[in-house]
Amino acid sequence: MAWNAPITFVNGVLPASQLNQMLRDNMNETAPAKAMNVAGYFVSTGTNAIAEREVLNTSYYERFGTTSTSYVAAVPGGIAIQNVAHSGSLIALWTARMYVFSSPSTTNTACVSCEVTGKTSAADSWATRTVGGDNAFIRGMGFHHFTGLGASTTDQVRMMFRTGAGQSNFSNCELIVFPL
Amino acid sequence: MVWTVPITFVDADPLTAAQLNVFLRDNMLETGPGKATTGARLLTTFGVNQIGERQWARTVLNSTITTTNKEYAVIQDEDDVLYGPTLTVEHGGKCLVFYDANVTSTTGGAAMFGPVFDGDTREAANPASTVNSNVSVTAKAAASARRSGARLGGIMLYTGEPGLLRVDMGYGSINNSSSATYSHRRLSIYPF
Repeated sequence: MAWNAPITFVNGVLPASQLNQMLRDNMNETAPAKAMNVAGYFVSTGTNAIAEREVLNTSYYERFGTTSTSYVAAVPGGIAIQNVAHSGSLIALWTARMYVFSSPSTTNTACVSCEVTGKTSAADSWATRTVGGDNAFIRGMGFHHFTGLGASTTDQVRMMFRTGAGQSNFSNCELIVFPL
Repeated sequence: MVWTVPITFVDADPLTAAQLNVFLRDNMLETGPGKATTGARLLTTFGVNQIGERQWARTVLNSTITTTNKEYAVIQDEDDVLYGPTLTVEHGGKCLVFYDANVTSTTGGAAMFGPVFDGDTREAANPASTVNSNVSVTAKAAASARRSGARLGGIMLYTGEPGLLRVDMGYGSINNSSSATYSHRRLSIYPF
């Protein structure tokens, strides 16, 4: 079904087809007709069209490290949310405890960024970066508004990690995705 | 009122007032504008064919507090005075929670703070815990190790039974002999 621009009614016979288009079909395009879950929200998906979305999250609490100076998933499978439905845009928010385990310096930082796999790679431009403190006590948090993705129901959003040099460690990670 | 799936109308069948009241009036009252009462609220789903408004909440306490707690305390003295800030929101099962503060810890210790949900600090007793729990302060905590005056914070998605949720900020320090100070303590909650 699709939304039909409401007509201007005039005196005379009201045919069933008008009621079906203007009342039944249009009602079925409104938010309560499309609501299927608790704690979701609505976004526009195009002209006269809306869809239900929900905030998604995943957590990973183990401690891990990387010596890679380019962004990697760092843990098997990565800290990721699959099958994110969106209309071409989403906001990712992430947080992690992080520190440089070896070779700490003012220019060597542990970095946490985020990617939409296969569409927008993780980058320092929106990375959370810190030298950190002992035992990963420093919690960093970051966000990025990904745009221009094209509507999808199968995208993966994943936290990505790298070190400036030596080894950086991370723990207590959380990734939250707010699809639009 | 509840949403009623619109019927298919047929020519020559009389259109009754009851039909208009159910499929037009009552259903209209279930839509976004029918539910909206206040500006700047989120319209979220309450269940199948149900939507409603959610009111966000935010607060800040600029005052400086000092803690020497080892655990994550929400009460600062025997008179049950809260450190704060504290917020209560109504939600449908999810809340986006932001929290931060300016933090200073003494040498040898680490300041740690985080949200405490409905007074449950069960994970907080073990600062080394990495147990996954939505009420875990430890696993969610923002912390400062021998850093001075930095603004640190965290973000999390709380999930739980729909209803009222009270959130307090809990504070602790890793080292028994250390103390920590916190100021400009902010808490923001966006319920869904």
